[in-house]
Amino acid sequence: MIQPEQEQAIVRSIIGGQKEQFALLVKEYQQIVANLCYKLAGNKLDTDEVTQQVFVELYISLPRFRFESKLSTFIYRITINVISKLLTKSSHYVSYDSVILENRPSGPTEEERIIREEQHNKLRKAIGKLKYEQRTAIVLYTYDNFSYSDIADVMQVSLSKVESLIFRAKKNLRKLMEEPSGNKR
Amino acid sequence: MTEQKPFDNDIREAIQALECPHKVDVTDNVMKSLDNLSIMVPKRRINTKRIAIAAAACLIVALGVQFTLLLTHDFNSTAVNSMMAELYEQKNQYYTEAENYEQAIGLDYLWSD
Repeated sequence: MIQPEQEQAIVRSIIGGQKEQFALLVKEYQQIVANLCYKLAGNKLDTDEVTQQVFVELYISLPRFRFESKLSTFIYRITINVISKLLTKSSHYVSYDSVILENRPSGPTEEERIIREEQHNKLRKAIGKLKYEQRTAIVLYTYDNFSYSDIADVMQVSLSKVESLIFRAKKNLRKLMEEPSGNKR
Repeated sequence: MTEQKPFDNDIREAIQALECPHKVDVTDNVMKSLDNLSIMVPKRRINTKRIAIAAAACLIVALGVQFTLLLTHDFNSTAVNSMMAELYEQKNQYYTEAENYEQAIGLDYLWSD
Protein backbone atom coordinates (compact mmCIF):
# COMPACT_ATOMS: atom_id res chain seq x y z
CA MET A 1 0.00 0.00 0.00
CA ILE A 2 1.32 3.44 -0.95
CA GLN A 3 1.68 5.97 1.89
CA PRO A 4 0.17 9.46 1.37
CA GLU A 5 3.60 11.20 1.20
CA GLN A 6 4.82 8.59 -1.24
CA GLU A 7 1.65 9.09 -3.27
CA GLN A 8 2.26 12.84 -3.53
CA ALA A 9 5.82 12.20 -4.71
CA ILE A 10 4.52 9.78 -7.34
CA VAL A 11 1.95 12.30 -8.59
CA ARG A 12 4.59 15.04 -8.81
CA SER A 13 6.93 12.77 -10.72
CA ILE A 14 4.15 11.83 -13.18
CA ILE A 15 3.39 15.50 -13.76
CA GLY A 16 7.12 16.00 -14.17
CA GLY A 17 7.12 13.54 -17.06
CA GLN A 18 7.79 10.11 -15.52
CA LYS A 19 4.87 8.39 -17.18
CA GLU A 20 5.84 4.88 -16.06
CA GLN A 21 5.17 5.87 -12.42
CA PHE A 22 1.48 5.99 -13.28
CA ALA A 23 1.38 2.20 -13.25
CA LEU A 24 1.84 2.34 -9.47
CA LEU A 25 -1.33 4.37 -9.08
CA VAL A 26 -3.25 2.08 -11.42
CA LYS A 27 -2.20 -0.99 -9.44
CA GLU A 28 -3.09 0.68 -6.16
CA TYR A 29 -6.55 1.93 -7.11
CA GLN A 30 -7.88 -0.25 -9.95
CA GLN A 31 -9.85 -2.66 -7.76
CA ILE A 32 -11.27 0.19 -5.67
CA VAL A 33 -12.41 1.94 -8.87
CA ALA A 34 -13.85 -1.30 -10.25
CA ASN A 35 -15.80 -1.94 -7.05
CA LEU A 36 -17.22 1.57 -7.00
CA CYS A 37 -18.11 1.19 -10.67
CA TYR A 38 -19.94 -2.06 -9.95
CA LYS A 39 -21.84 -0.52 -7.04
CA LEU A 40 -22.94 2.41 -9.22
CA ALA A 41 -23.48 0.80 -12.58
CA GLY A 42 -23.98 -2.92 -11.84
CA ASN A 43 -24.10 -5.00 -15.01
CA LYS A 44 -24.95 -2.02 -17.16
CA LEU A 45 -21.35 -1.12 -17.94
CA ASP A 46 -18.20 -3.14 -18.54
CA THR A 47 -16.26 -2.65 -15.31
CA ASP A 48 -12.85 -3.20 -16.97
CA GLU A 49 -13.54 -0.66 -19.69
CA VAL A 50 -14.82 1.92 -17.24
CA THR A 51 -11.82 1.39 -14.94
CA GLN A 52 -9.48 1.88 -17.88
CA GLN A 53 -11.29 5.02 -18.94
CA VAL A 54 -11.16 6.39 -15.39
CA PHE A 55 -7.37 6.02 -15.29
CA VAL A 56 -6.90 7.64 -18.69
CA GLU A 57 -9.05 10.56 -17.45
CA LEU A 58 -7.02 10.62 -14.24
CA TYR A 59 -3.79 10.86 -16.19
CA ILE A 60 -5.12 13.76 -18.25
CA SER A 61 -6.53 15.55 -15.19
CA LEU A 62 -3.59 14.93 -12.87
CA PRO A 63 -2.06 18.41 -13.36
CA ARG A 64 -5.31 19.83 -11.97
CA PHE A 65 -4.87 17.89 -8.71
CA ARG A 66 -4.00 20.47 -6.05
CA PHE A 67 -2.85 18.19 -3.23
CA GLU A 68 -5.51 19.77 -0.98
CA SER A 69 -7.64 16.64 -0.77
CA LYS A 70 -6.76 12.97 -0.86
CA LEU A 71 -5.90 11.48 -4.23
CA SER A 72 -8.57 8.84 -3.59
CA THR A 73 -11.22 11.60 -3.40
CA PHE A 74 -10.03 12.91 -6.77
CA ILE A 75 -10.18 9.39 -8.25
CA TYR A 76 -13.69 8.78 -6.85
CA ARG A 77 -14.82 12.08 -8.37
CA ILE A 78 -13.49 11.12 -11.80
CA THR A 79 -15.09 7.66 -11.51
CA ILE A 80 -18.49 9.13 -10.69
CA ASN A 81 -18.27 11.57 -13.59
CA VAL A 82 -17.16 8.94 -16.09
CA ILE A 83 -19.98 6.57 -15.07
CA SER A 84 -22.51 9.39 -15.10
CA LYS A 85 -21.56 10.29 -18.69
CA LEU A 86 -21.77 6.65 -19.81
CA LEU A 87 -25.08 6.00 -18.06
CA THR A 88 -26.72 9.10 -19.46
CA LYS A 89 -26.49 7.57 -22.90
CA SER A 90 -28.87 4.82 -21.83
CA SER A 91 -31.04 4.62 -18.75
CA HIS A 92 -29.80 5.36 -15.25
CA TYR A 93 -31.43 2.22 -13.83
CA VAL A 94 -29.06 -0.67 -13.23
CA SER A 95 -29.14 -4.27 -12.01
CA TYR A 96 -26.67 -6.49 -10.19
CA ASP A 97 -25.64 -10.15 -10.29
CA SER A 98 -26.56 -12.31 -7.30
CA VAL A 99 -24.08 -11.56 -4.58
CA ILE A 100 -21.21 -13.98 -4.03
CA LEU A 101 -21.51 -16.36 -1.12
CA GLU A 102 -18.74 -14.95 1.12
CA ASN A 103 -20.75 -11.77 1.48
CA ARG A 104 -23.96 -13.43 2.61
CA PRO A 105 -25.59 -11.65 5.52
CA SER A 106 -25.09 -13.12 8.95
CA GLY A 107 -27.94 -14.48 11.08
CA PRO A 108 -28.44 -16.81 13.98
CA THR A 109 -30.15 -19.56 11.96
CA GLU A 110 -29.88 -20.70 8.34
CA GLU A 111 -33.53 -19.78 7.75
CA GLU A 112 -33.01 -16.27 9.03
CA ARG A 113 -29.89 -15.94 6.92
CA ILE A 114 -31.87 -16.90 3.81
CA ILE A 115 -34.61 -14.39 4.65
CA ARG A 116 -32.05 -11.62 5.14
CA GLU A 117 -30.31 -12.57 1.93
CA GLU A 118 -33.57 -12.30 0.06
CA GLN A 119 -34.22 -8.96 1.67
CA HIS A 120 -30.77 -7.71 0.72
CA ASN A 121 -31.30 -8.83 -2.85
CA LYS A 122 -34.57 -6.92 -2.94
CA LEU A 123 -32.80 -3.92 -1.46
CA ARG A 124 -30.10 -4.13 -4.13
CA LYS A 125 -32.76 -4.23 -6.84
CA ALA A 126 -34.27 -1.12 -5.28
CA ILE A 127 -30.86 0.58 -5.19
CA GLY A 128 -30.55 -0.09 -8.91
CA LYS A 129 -33.80 1.75 -9.46
CA LEU A 130 -32.68 4.92 -7.69
CA LYS A 131 -31.70 8.01 -9.64
CA TYR A 132 -27.95 8.14 -10.28
CA GLU A 133 -27.27 11.04 -7.89
CA GLN A 134 -29.21 9.37 -5.06
CA ARG A 135 -27.51 6.04 -5.70
CA THR A 136 -24.09 7.68 -5.68
CA ALA A 137 -24.81 9.43 -2.38
CA ILE A 138 -26.15 6.31 -0.69
CA VAL A 139 -23.25 4.18 -1.97
CA LEU A 140 -20.65 6.64 -0.67
CA TYR A 141 -22.62 6.86 2.59
CA THR A 142 -21.96 3.16 3.18
CA TYR A 143 -18.18 3.66 2.88
CA ASP A 144 -16.92 3.45 6.45
CA ASN A 145 -14.35 6.20 6.16
CA PHE A 146 -16.63 8.66 4.40
CA SER A 147 -18.24 11.62 6.16
CA TYR A 148 -21.02 13.77 4.69
CA SER A 149 -18.47 16.43 3.82
CA ASP A 150 -16.31 13.83 2.04
CA ILE A 151 -19.34 12.81 0.00
CA ALA A 152 -20.02 16.48 -0.80
CA ASP A 153 -16.40 16.87 -1.84
CA VAL A 154 -16.49 13.83 -4.12
CA MET A 155 -19.84 14.71 -5.65
CA GLN A 156 -18.99 18.42 -5.83
CA VAL A 157 -22.26 19.44 -4.24
CA SER A 158 -23.17 21.23 -1.01
CA LEU A 159 -23.47 19.48 2.34
CA SER A 160 -27.20 20.16 2.47
CA LYS A 161 -27.63 18.64 -0.98
CA VAL A 162 -25.87 15.46 0.24
CA GLU A 163 -28.17 15.29 3.26
CA SER A 164 -31.19 15.72 1.03
CA LEU A 165 -29.97 13.11 -1.49
CA ILE A 166 -29.39 10.52 1.25
CA PHE A 167 -32.72 11.29 2.88
CA ARG A 168 -34.56 10.94 -0.43
CA ALA A 169 -32.64 7.79 -1.33
CA LYS A 170 -33.63 6.13 1.95
CA LYS A 171 -37.22 7.26 1.55
CA ASN A 172 -37.39 5.88 -1.99
CA LEU A 173 -35.73 2.62 -0.92
CA ARG A 174 -38.31 2.20 1.82
CA LYS A 175 -41.09 2.83 -0.70
CA LEU A 176 -39.60 0.39 -3.22
CA MET A 177 -39.16 -2.24 -0.51
CA GLU A 178 -42.84 -1.97 0.36
CA GLU A 179 -43.88 -2.66 -3.23
CA PRO A 180 -44.75 -6.28 -4.01
CA SER A 181 -41.86 -8.16 -5.71
CA GLY A 182 -43.70 -8.58 -9.00
CA ASN A 183 -44.27 -4.85 -9.36
CA LYS A 184 -41.48 -3.72 -11.66
CA ARG A 185 -40.79 -0.13 -12.63
CA MET B 1 -35.35 6.57 14.84
CA THR B 2 -35.39 3.07 16.33
CA GLU B 3 -36.64 1.75 13.00
CA GLN B 4 -34.12 3.82 11.07
CA LYS B 5 -30.98 2.09 12.40
CA PRO B 6 -31.71 -1.48 11.28
CA PHE B 7 -32.74 -0.18 7.87
CA ASP B 8 -29.49 1.79 7.66
CA ASN B 9 -27.56 -1.35 8.55
CA ASP B 10 -29.44 -3.34 5.92
CA ILE B 11 -28.59 -0.75 3.28
CA ARG B 12 -24.96 -0.73 4.41
CA GLU B 13 -24.68 -4.53 4.33
CA ALA B 14 -26.48 -4.83 1.00
CA ILE B 15 -24.24 -2.25 -0.68
CA GLN B 16 -21.02 -3.43 0.93
CA ALA B 17 -21.68 -6.92 -0.41
CA LEU B 18 -21.70 -5.47 -3.93
CA GLU B 19 -18.21 -5.92 -5.25
CA CYS B 20 -16.90 -6.36 -8.74
CA PRO B 21 -17.30 -10.11 -9.34
CA HIS B 22 -13.82 -10.48 -10.83
CA LYS B 23 -10.32 -9.20 -10.16
CA VAL B 24 -9.49 -6.28 -12.39
CA ASP B 25 -6.08 -5.74 -13.95
CA VAL B 26 -6.03 -2.98 -16.50
CA THR B 27 -2.49 -1.72 -15.84
CA ASP B 28 -1.05 -2.81 -19.20
CA ASN B 29 -4.01 -1.54 -21.17
CA VAL B 30 -3.94 1.81 -19.39
CA MET B 31 -0.20 2.22 -19.91
CA LYS B 32 -0.63 1.39 -23.61
CA SER B 33 -3.39 3.99 -23.93
CA LEU B 34 -1.11 6.56 -22.35
CA ASP B 35 1.52 6.08 -25.06
CA ASN B 36 -0.37 8.41 -27.37
CA LEU B 37 -1.17 10.88 -24.63
CA SER B 38 1.05 13.54 -23.21
CA ILE B 39 0.36 15.18 -19.90
CA MET B 40 -0.56 18.81 -20.25
CA VAL B 41 0.06 21.24 -17.46
CA PRO B 42 -2.95 23.55 -17.75
CA LYS B 43 -2.26 27.09 -18.84
CA ARG B 44 -3.74 29.89 -16.87
CA ARG B 45 -7.24 30.01 -18.23
CA ILE B 46 -8.68 33.29 -19.42
CA ASN B 47 -11.89 33.94 -17.61
CA THR B 48 -14.01 35.41 -20.39
CA LYS B 49 -16.97 35.95 -18.08
CA ARG B 50 -14.94 38.19 -15.77
CA ILE B 51 -13.52 40.11 -18.70
CA ALA B 52 -17.02 40.67 -20.11
CA ILE B 53 -18.28 41.92 -16.73
CA ALA B 54 -15.28 44.29 -16.36
CA ALA B 55 -15.78 45.62 -19.90
CA ALA B 56 -19.48 46.20 -19.27
CA ALA B 57 -18.66 48.01 -16.01
CA CYS B 58 -16.11 50.23 -17.80
CA LEU B 59 -18.66 51.06 -20.50
CA ILE B 60 -21.29 51.98 -17.92
CA VAL B 61 -18.81 54.21 -16.07
CA ALA B 62 -17.71 55.90 -19.31
CA LEU B 63 -21.30 56.54 -20.35
CA GLY B 64 -22.08 57.87 -16.89
CA VAL B 65 -19.16 60.28 -17.03
CA GLN B 66 -20.19 61.52 -20.48
CA PHE B 67 -23.78 61.98 -19.41
CA THR B 68 -22.73 63.91 -16.31
CA LEU B 69 -20.46 66.15 -18.40
CA LEU B 70 -23.28 66.75 -20.83
CA LEU B 71 -25.58 67.87 -18.04
CA THR B 72 -23.10 70.05 -16.21
CA HIS B 73 -21.12 71.50 -19.11
CA ASP B 74 -21.19 75.29 -19.34
CA PHE B 75 -21.97 76.10 -22.95
CA ASN B 76 -21.28 79.82 -22.41
CA SER B 77 -17.66 79.07 -21.94
CA THR B 78 -15.06 81.54 -23.22
CA ALA B 79 -13.99 79.26 -26.03
CA VAL B 80 -17.51 79.03 -27.44
CA ASN B 81 -18.07 82.75 -26.96
CA SER B 82 -14.94 83.74 -28.82
CA MET B 83 -15.77 81.30 -31.59
CA MET B 84 -19.27 82.75 -31.91
CA ALA B 85 -17.85 86.31 -31.95
CA GLU B 86 -15.44 85.36 -34.68
CA LEU B 87 -18.22 83.83 -36.76
CA TYR B 88 -20.37 86.94 -36.25
CA GLU B 89 -17.54 89.17 -37.33
CA GLN B 90 -16.97 87.03 -40.41
CA LYS B 91 -20.66 87.25 -41.26
CA ASN B 92 -20.62 91.07 -40.96
CA GLN B 93 -17.55 91.21 -43.11
CA TYR B 94 -19.27 89.21 -45.85
CA TYR B 95 -22.30 91.50 -45.71
CA THR B 96 -20.11 94.61 -46.01
CA GLU B 97 -18.24 93.09 -48.93
CA ALA B 98 -21.51 92.21 -50.61
CA GLU B 99 -22.85 95.75 -50.10
CA ASN B 100 -19.68 97.28 -51.52
CA TYR B 101 -19.93 94.99 -54.52
CA GLU B 102 -23.57 95.92 -55.14
CA GLN B 103 -22.69 99.61 -54.98
CA ALA B 104 -19.84 99.06 -57.34
CA ILE B 105 -21.99 97.45 -59.98
CA GLY B 106 -24.95 99.80 -59.39
CA LEU B 107 -27.39 97.39 -57.88
CA ASP B 108 -27.72 99.21 -54.55
CA TYR B 109 -30.81 101.09 -55.82
CA LEU B 110 -32.75 97.86 -55.60
CA TRP B 111 -32.57 97.98 -51.86
CA SER B 112 -33.12 101.73 -51.37
CA ASP B 113 -36.60 102.96 -50.44
